[in-house]
Amino acid sequence: MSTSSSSSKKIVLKSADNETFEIDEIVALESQAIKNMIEDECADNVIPLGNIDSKTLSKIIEYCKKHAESPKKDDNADIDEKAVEDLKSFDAEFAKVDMPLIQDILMAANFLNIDNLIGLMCRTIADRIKGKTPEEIRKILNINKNDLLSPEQEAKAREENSWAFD
Amino acid sequence: MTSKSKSVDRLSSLHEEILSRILSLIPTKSAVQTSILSKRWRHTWTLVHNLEFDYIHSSPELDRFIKYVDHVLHLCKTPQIKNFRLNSNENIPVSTMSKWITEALRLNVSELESLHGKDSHKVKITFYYPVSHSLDLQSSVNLPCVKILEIVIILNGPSDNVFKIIGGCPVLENLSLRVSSWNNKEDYYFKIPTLKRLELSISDSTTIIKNIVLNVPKLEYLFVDGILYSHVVIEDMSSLVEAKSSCEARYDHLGIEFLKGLSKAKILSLTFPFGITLEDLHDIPKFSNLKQLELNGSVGWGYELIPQILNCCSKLEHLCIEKPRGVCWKKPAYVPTCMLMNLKTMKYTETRACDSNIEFLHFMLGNSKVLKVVTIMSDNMFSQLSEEWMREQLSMVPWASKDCQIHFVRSQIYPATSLIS
Repeated sequence: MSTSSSSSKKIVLKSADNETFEIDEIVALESQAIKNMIEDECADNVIPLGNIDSKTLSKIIEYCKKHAESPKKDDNADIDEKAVEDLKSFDAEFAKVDMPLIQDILMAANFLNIDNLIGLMCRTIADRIKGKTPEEIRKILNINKNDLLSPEQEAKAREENSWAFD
Repeated sequence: MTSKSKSVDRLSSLHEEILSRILSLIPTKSAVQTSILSKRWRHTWTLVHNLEFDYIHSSPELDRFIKYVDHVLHLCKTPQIKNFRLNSNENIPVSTMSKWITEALRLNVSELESLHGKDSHKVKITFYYPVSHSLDLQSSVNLPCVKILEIVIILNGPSDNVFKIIGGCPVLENLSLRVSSWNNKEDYYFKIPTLKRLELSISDSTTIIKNIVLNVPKLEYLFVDGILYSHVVIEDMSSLVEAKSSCEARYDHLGIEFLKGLSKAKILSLTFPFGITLEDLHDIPKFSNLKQLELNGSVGWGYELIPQILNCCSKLEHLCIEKPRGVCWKKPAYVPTCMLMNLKTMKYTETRACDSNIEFLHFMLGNSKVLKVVTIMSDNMFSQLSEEWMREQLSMVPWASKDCQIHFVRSQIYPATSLIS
């Protein structure tokens, strides 16, 4: 998903599967990690992101573009309500993906330090596990069978927190 | 982290912080339930930064609910709770509520909200510094039912947190604030429209003088104790009935300024040393409503202050004086109006059968025209002989009030409880 426009400074990101993405610097700055790299002048022409695949990276760029375009709260105190609503519905649409992708985006957002996106993904996961039984949550989150507590351990945890299991 | 690894639980490899962020977005009860998800999730919930407790069941379960909240607060390891919310339709005992709020403050809560039963409106909060020195209530406190709030601050603490808590109690009627030391960087502004009783005790302070501003239109009772380093500025205290001060003003004129603010009181109790200097004597305000006056402690400048104060209380009916030591009695050139018109009872405590006392009592008995009862309180050391001697001495001057009675009361200690004639 290459972005080619205007004369502004470009940054190139390279995914784990060697796909490159050219984006405006302003979009890349949504990531605190990349911002730090640029400020410390550690960023070469191409920033390799060895642990983010192209599918995840393109989603993240989509998010950053939208958020970079939107007026920032600290720019203007009485920010346009329509812009806020617009961003909200964008976020809601953006989060309508399957759980593995959500988890990938969350991990990548954590790595790139994009706080808004971390928040959005956390909210999405929270919404999906809310009101579910532990068994259902294990399925949703794909928790590895090998990690489960032993029956004794589980009994102990239930006992410890008994009120929560009523 | 490629798309190929679809069946892998990616979340479990994430930092605790992120997981706890997710758990903070679901109800606390559900978050606690995640303790059985897997080994990885066993204790993750203890890092949640929102705690919400809802209790809407019937009373037999209340004990279990209390244990559960205790348990959660005990296990919670988060360095800062953002939101602590308690919702209950049952009356949670005051001591329990107080403990929880104190615990929430220990966890550096930034938003405290309690919506609960009709009678649980009393809360005691204890700040233990320096344990919670980093306490930073960034946001709001909401205690809509709290009418009685007792705040104890051990050691030095930032006062803005205190005022945030006070500000979060919209129906507060009774505030007791004990501060062992606070930092006078800014004014302490008490603007509490519902407050009826205020007890303020300050045992130490920095030496910078700032203001304690009182805007408490409904306040009926004020008690100030400890050491006064600040100007007390009274913006509104128009309902004041009773004021009690056992504080010592550390700078000139602070004491007399404070006294001026109490001039509307009907009942006044001053414990000396109060910090009034001889220069202040002419500045004593008129207490035009005062009916009852109690002067405790070492009044200072012996008896000199007594007629000065009495002269400012024209409606005074009941006078209680303790331990009048110091220089000799000097008969004033005037008789205070209250003695001519209104003074009905007088209680005189820790009396020794000495000349100064006799001269003072001569003045009081000789000039108080409507005096009914004089009670002379003393300890067991005061012998029957002394009493007889004193009666004889007092009868040597004509009394202005013909039907005045004198009672002698002896006791180990001197509280007013022993005043039985």
